[in-house]
Amino acid sequence: MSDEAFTQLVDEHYVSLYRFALSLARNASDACDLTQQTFYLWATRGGALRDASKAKSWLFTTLYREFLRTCRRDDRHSSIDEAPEDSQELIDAGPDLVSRIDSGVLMDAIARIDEVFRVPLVLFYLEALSYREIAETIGVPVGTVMSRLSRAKGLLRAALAALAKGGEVLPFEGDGERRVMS
Amino acid sequence: MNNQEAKFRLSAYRPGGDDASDPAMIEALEQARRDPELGAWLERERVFDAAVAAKLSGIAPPAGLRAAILSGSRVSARRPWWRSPALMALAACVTVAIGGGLIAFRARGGVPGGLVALAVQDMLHGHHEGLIPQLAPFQGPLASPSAALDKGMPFDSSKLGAADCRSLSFHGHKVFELCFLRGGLVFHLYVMPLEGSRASGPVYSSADGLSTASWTDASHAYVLATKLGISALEKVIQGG
Repeated sequence: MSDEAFTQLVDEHYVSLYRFALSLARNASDACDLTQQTFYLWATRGGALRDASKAKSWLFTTLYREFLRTCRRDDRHSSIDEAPEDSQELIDAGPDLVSRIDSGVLMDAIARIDEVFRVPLVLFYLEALSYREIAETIGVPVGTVMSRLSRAKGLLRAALAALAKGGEVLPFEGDGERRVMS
Repeated sequence: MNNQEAKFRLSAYRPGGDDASDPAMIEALEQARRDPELGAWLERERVFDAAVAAKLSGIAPPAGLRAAILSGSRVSARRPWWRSPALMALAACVTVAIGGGLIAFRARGGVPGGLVALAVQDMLHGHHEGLIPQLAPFQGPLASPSAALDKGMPFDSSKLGAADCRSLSFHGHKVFELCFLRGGLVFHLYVMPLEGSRASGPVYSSADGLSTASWTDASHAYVLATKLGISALEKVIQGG
């Protein structure tokens, strides 16, 4: 693969891959490492991919598998996998609320969602992959992706509503924050 | 198709409209056009989805990540690692053979992936201690114009911890950071103990106004960073 082609591939996808990695790893340092490792694997294996149009799916799939292989941590956060009973909360967490919060708070809310739902949700909102490609990436049927997306959005609204009500905001180590400084 | 099934499908309809030509979506969208209640629901969903997508797109990668990914591509007179069949084969073999944590770092046969990005991020946002007396045994030799870092560190790196040198955590491993002056110019050196390493580099890269050189010896990985350009780094690395 030429330098120019590799640079072009990086430029097209590294931002979205980093955001996906950040949603998985929940800290910038690990997200950087995951993103770099993905392109490293591309350089060693992905360059042989015959269908160039599959490069994007290959990169997201590889990043996700690398996360599962090396970066999955014991969950320090209390994940949300059930929407609250109070349905009014879900209605309150609308686009107005989303527009008022900053990206870090949104990531806090997303980080509180169980990984099973969080992964397709973030891939969906990155808009880089179709639901069919998301299904390939995480290795589940298309119907499962739709089901998880439907539920994930409810969970996101619940998490946002909880934040809006002054509920616990668990720290999310995002851009500009180092993990540990001693 | 009833409204419940249409909602199920439309939950996967991207807010930017990229799925408009998908047959499953076309049918559901048509249903939403016919049914005002479903149409109103879809409109609310799309507004919410667009707001979340827009907010997510506001998250920017750390400065230097792109350069770190491309490390090697701008190395003068050196073939980038992804174009070196021997290095790729070696790295692939080792990567398959062993995995995880520090071992995975070794598999790449050089500076661990992410270390340069960490250094760049720390350069931009870290709270550096500057020149302090307790670190003089390290900062002093680094300031000497005759010290060529590619010939070996002019101090005992294993004593950095005992000297209470500032450090960062990188996948559970300490990375020590030292500021020093050479010819009145400021440099930052990052030192990561790397057991069982082998000599590689230096690899130079430059982006976003920052330049880095990264290399390894038998026991450490190093990143030297500055805002002064690659030529300034080369003088420190090569001495003189």
